Amino acid sequence: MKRYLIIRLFQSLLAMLAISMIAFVLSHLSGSPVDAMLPDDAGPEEAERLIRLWGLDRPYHEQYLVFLGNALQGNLGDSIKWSGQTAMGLVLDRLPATLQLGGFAIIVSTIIALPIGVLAAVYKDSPFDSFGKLIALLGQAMPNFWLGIVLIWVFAVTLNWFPTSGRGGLANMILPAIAMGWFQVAALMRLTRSAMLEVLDSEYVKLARIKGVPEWRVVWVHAFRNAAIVPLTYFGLIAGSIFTGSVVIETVFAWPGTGLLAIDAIRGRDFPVVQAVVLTFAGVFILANLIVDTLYAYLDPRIRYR
Amino acid sequence: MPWNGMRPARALIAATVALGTGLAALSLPMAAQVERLVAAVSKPGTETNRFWSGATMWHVMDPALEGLIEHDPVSGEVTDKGLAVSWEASPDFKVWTFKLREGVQFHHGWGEFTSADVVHSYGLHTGEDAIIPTVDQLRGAKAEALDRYTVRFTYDKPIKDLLFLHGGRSVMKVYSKAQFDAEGLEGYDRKFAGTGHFQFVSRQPGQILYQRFDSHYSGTKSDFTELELRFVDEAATKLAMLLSGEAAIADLPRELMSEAINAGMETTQSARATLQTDVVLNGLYCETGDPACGKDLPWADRRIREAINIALNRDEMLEVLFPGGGAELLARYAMAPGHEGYDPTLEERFKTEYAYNPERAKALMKEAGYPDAFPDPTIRLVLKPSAGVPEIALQMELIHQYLIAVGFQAELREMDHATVGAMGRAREAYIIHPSKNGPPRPTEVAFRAFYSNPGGPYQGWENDWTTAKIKAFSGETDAGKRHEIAKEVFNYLFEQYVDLPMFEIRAQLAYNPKMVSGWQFPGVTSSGYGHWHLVKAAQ
Repeated sequence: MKRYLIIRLFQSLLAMLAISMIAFVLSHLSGSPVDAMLPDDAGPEEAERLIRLWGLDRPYHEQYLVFLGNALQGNLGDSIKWSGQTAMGLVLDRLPATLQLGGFAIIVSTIIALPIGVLAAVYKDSPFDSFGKLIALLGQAMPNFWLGIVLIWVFAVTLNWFPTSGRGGLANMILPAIAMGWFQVAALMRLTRSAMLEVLDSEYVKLARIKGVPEWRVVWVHAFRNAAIVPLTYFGLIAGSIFTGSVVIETVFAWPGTGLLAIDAIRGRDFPVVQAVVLTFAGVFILANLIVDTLYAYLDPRIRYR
Repeated sequence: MPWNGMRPARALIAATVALGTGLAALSLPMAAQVERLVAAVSKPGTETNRFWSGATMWHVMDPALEGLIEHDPVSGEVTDKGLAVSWEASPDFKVWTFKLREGVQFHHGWGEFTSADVVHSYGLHTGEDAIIPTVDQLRGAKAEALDRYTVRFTYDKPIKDLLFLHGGRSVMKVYSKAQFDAEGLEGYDRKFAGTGHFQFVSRQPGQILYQRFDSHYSGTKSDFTELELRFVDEAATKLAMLLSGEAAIADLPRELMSEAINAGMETTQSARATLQTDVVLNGLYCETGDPACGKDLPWADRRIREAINIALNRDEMLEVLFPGGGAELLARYAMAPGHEGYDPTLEERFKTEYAYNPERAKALMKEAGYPDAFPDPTIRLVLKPSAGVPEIALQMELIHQYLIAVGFQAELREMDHATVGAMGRAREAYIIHPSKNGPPRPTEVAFRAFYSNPGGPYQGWENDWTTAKIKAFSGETDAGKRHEIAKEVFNYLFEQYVDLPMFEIRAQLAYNPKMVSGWQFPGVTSSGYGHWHLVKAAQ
C-alpha cells in the first residue's frame, strides 16, 4: 500500500510538470496579450512598448524557465489584465466560489443519483426504473448553458423563488448547482444502476437472501457496498468535469469563480492567470484522482503495484 | 431575409428567452422605492482600481472618477461644469492651459483638488503600465502646475484633440496625490479617492459598490444613496435580473430590448451617437512596392467592393439588429458631424450610391469576372465579437447571407478580437471583419488608426494617394485647409468603397420603470454611458 501511494504521488508530480509545459505552450500559441489588451487605435510603438514591458520579447524557452523557476517558489507572476494583482492571488480569491458551487453540485448529484440508481436496479423494468432512465436521458441530452437559462427563467423570473445570478447564500447556489450537476446525476445514476444489477445477481447476495437477511440490508449493506466502487471511481472524473462545467455555468449565472476568471484570462491572453488557473484545476483534478485511487486500493486489496 | 444561417445555440437561447419573457410579464413583481440602485452591466475589460492600466472600464469607474472635461448630459457638448472651468490652446496647439475649479473635495477626506493632482494623474496615465486607449496621444507633454488652480501641458507637436482626449475619450481620470503620497498604489487598490458623485466603498469579483458623495462640488445629489454595479456577461441573465427586479437597469443588447419592452421595461439612450461601426475589407496594404498588398483578393477590385456594399440591404439590417431604435445608417466610417472634413453631401449620396441593389451587384461581379478572374474568389468574413456591440455577431451572419444571395462564395469564420489584431499587426489580415469607432474619434486620430501605414491593427486600406493626403492633413495647421483636405479624403474613401460603413449607434439601456423614472447621459467614452448620478428614482 505504501509503495503504491509513493508511486502514485510521483506520477502526480510528473503530470503537474507536463501540464505546466502544455499550459505554457498552448497559452503562448494562442496569441499575444498585446492584441487583446490594446485598443483599436494603438500604433505599433505602443505594441512594442508593452511587449518589452511584459517580457514577451524574450525567447519562449527563457520565458518558460523563468515561469517554472518562479512557479516552484509559489509565484506564478503578476496578472497582465488585472493590474496590481498576482495571478495566484486572483485564482485563490475566486477558488472558494468555484469549490463552493462545485462541491454543492457534487453533493446534490450524489444525493439524487445514488438512491435513484439503486432503486432503479432493485425495481428493474418498473415505472420507477423508467423514471430513472428519463432523468438520465434528460441530463445527458440537455446542454448545461441552456438548462441554466431555463432554470433562471422558470424559478427566478417567473416564480421568483431563487435569485437569478450572483454569489450569495444557499438560495444563490441552488439553480447553478442543478444546472451543473444534472449531467453528473445522469451519469452517476446509470453507473450505480448497472453496478447494482451486476451485484444483485451475484452468489453472495443470493446467499444472504437465503439466510433470511432483511431485504433493505441485502440491498444497502451487502450489495451497495460492493457496487459503490464503480461510482466511486467516477468521482475523480466528476471533480474534473465540475471544473470544466464551471466555465459555462459561472458565465450564465455570473458566479465569480475560477471558471469565469479562466474565460476572461483566455480572452485577454493573460498568460500568468491562464497558467495559474490551469495548474490549479489540474492540481485539484490530480488530487481528487489520487484520493479516489487511494480509496480504491483500500476497498480492493488486489489493487497494488508489483 | 433568410435566417438559416443563425447559429443553433443562439437560436436556442433566443427562443428560451422569448418564451421566458412572456411568462415573466405575467408575474412581474411590484417594486418599491429603492435606496440602492443595482445595475447589471457588461463586464469591464479589466477589474482594477488603476484606471490607467485597465481596459473598457469607463462605465464602472465613472461614478467615482472624473476627467478634466465634462460633457453636457442633454446636448452632449463640452461644458465648463467639470473640474476644468476654462482652457486655452496656443495657436499651434502645442501648449494647453487649464484653469481648475476651486473648492473641489476628494472622497474619503483626502483634501482639496489642485493642479498638483492633475500633474500626478498625468504621470500615472502616461507611465510604463498605462494601456488605456489613445494613451500614445496623451504622452509626450511636460505637465506643470503654474499655480494651485492652473495647469499647463506643453507638447513638442500640435495636439489639436486634447479636449477630446480629456472629455469625449476621457483617457485621464483625476486621482488624489495626497492619498498616493500617504498610501501609494496599494492605497488606490484598497480604497481609491476620486471627485465624482459617488465614492468607492468596496469591490468584489463581479461587482463594485459605491456610496453617494454628498459634498460634490456641483451641489447635485443622486436620488440613490448607494450604487451597485454587477458585471454580467450573459445577456439573457441580465434581462432576467431586470425582469425579476434584482436590477433596476441593464445594458442589454438591442436584440433583447424588444423583449424587455414587451415585459414592461422602458429604455433610455445617450444624447448623441457613441459608436460607429463598419466592416473592414482588410489586407489592402497597397502602397507602391508593399509586398503585403493583397492584390489578388477579390475586394482589391473596386467593382467587387461596390458589389459587396450594394448587396447589403442596410435598411432591413437596421430593422433586424436594432428593433428598439437607437441606431442610424452610417454614410462614411470615421466621419462625424462637428469633426474636421465632415461632408453632409455624402449623407445624401449614400442613399443612392450605397443603396441595396442586388441586380447591379451581380452585374458588377460579372463585369469584374467574378469568380473566374480571381485565384481565390472566397470572401472570408470573420465573426469577431466586439465589446459593447453584441449585435456584431448577427450582423456578420446577415452579411454572409446577403453575399451568398447575390452569388459570392462567402464563408463565415469565428475569431476572437486578439487573433484578428495579431493578423493585422503582422499585416496578414486578408479577411473581412467588423470594426468600431467609439466614441467617434477626431478625424486625425481616425485617419491614423484606420487608413494609414502602419495604422492600428484593424485597418486595411493603404495606397499612395491616401497616405500623401493624410500626411498633408497632419502637417497642416490652418483649420480651413485641414477641413478641405479631410473632406477630400472622405470623398475619395466613399467613392472607392474602401469598407462597408454600417451604423451610428447611441448607447441604450433598459430600466424597470417601477424603480427608475429616467436617465439622461451625454454618450461619451468607449462605454457610451455614465453620469450615474443622473439616474432618476421612480416616485
